[in-house]
Amino acid sequence: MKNHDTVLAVYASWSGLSYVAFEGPHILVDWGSKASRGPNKNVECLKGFTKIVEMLRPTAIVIDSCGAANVHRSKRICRLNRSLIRWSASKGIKVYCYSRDEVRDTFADTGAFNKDQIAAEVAKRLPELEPRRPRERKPWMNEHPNMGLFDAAALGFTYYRLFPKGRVRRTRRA
Amino acid sequence: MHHKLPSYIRTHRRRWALTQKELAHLLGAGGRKQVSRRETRERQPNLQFVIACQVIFGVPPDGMFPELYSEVEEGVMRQVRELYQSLDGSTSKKAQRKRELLNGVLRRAKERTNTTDV
Repeated sequence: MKNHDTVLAVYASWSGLSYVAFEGPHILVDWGSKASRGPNKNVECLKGFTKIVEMLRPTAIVIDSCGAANVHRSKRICRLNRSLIRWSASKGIKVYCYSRDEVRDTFADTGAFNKDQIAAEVAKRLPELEPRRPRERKPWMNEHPNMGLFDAAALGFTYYRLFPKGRVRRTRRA
Repeated sequence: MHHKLPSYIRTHRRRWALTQKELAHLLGAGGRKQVSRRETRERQPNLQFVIACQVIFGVPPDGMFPELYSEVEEGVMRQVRELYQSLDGSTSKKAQRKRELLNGVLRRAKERTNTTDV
C-alpha cells in the first residue's frame, strides 16, 4: 500500500450509507452520505455505493465487521455489508473489515471511547468534517444521520493504524 | 504529491464548505451547472476556470486537474522529442539554444515524475 492510494471507508447505518475517501492518513478527498428510505434501502445503498466507487476508483475499501464477537448490527446492515464486499471483490478491489473494538483501540490513546468522543477526535484530525459533527447525543435522541460519516472516518483511521508499512492482512468475513 | 483523482475541484470546494453555486459565483462561471460539469468531468475546464481555481484555492493546475495536466504534458513531450530529433546534427547557435530549452523541459518532466512516484 502506498500513502497516495485512494482508500474508501464506508459505514452503513439506519439512515443509509456514509463514506469517507482518503489519499493518506490525513488527506481527505471526498466524503458524504447516501440517504435511503423505504423498503429497498439496501438496493438504494448498493446503487449509491457503486456510483461512489466508479467516481473515486479506490484501491481499498474499508467496512465495519459484522462477523466479529460482541457486534450488534441489524440483519439488514449485515446483509448490506456482505453485498458491498461481494460487489467490491467482483471488481477486484481489496476489502478490509474492522470491528468496533479495533476502531476503539485506534482512539484509545486520546481517551476517546464512545461514538461522540471518537467523532470529536475525528473532527480534530479532519477539520473539514467539523461542520457536520452532530451535537452530543442524549439517551432519548436518535442517532444523527451525520454520525455515520464519523464512523466511516474512524474506520479509515483504523485502516491506516493497522497498515502503517504496507502489511497485508487477510480480509475477514463481515 | 501523487494524485489519484482526475479532478480535485470537488475536494477543495467541500474542504472549504462551499456550495457549487457559491463556487460558480466566485469563479464567475455562470451557474452551479458549470461547476458540476467540471466536477463530474462532463466538460473540460477552460483556461479562465483553471486560473480562477488557482486564485481561489492556491492550488496549481497539476494539483487541481492532474488528469488534464498529464494529457497535455504527454502531448507536449511527444512534440518535444520530435523537435529534439529534428535538431540532430545541427550545430547552429539557434539549434543549441533550442536544445537547451528542450533539455530543460525533459529535466523538469523527469523531476515531476520522480516527485509524484514518491
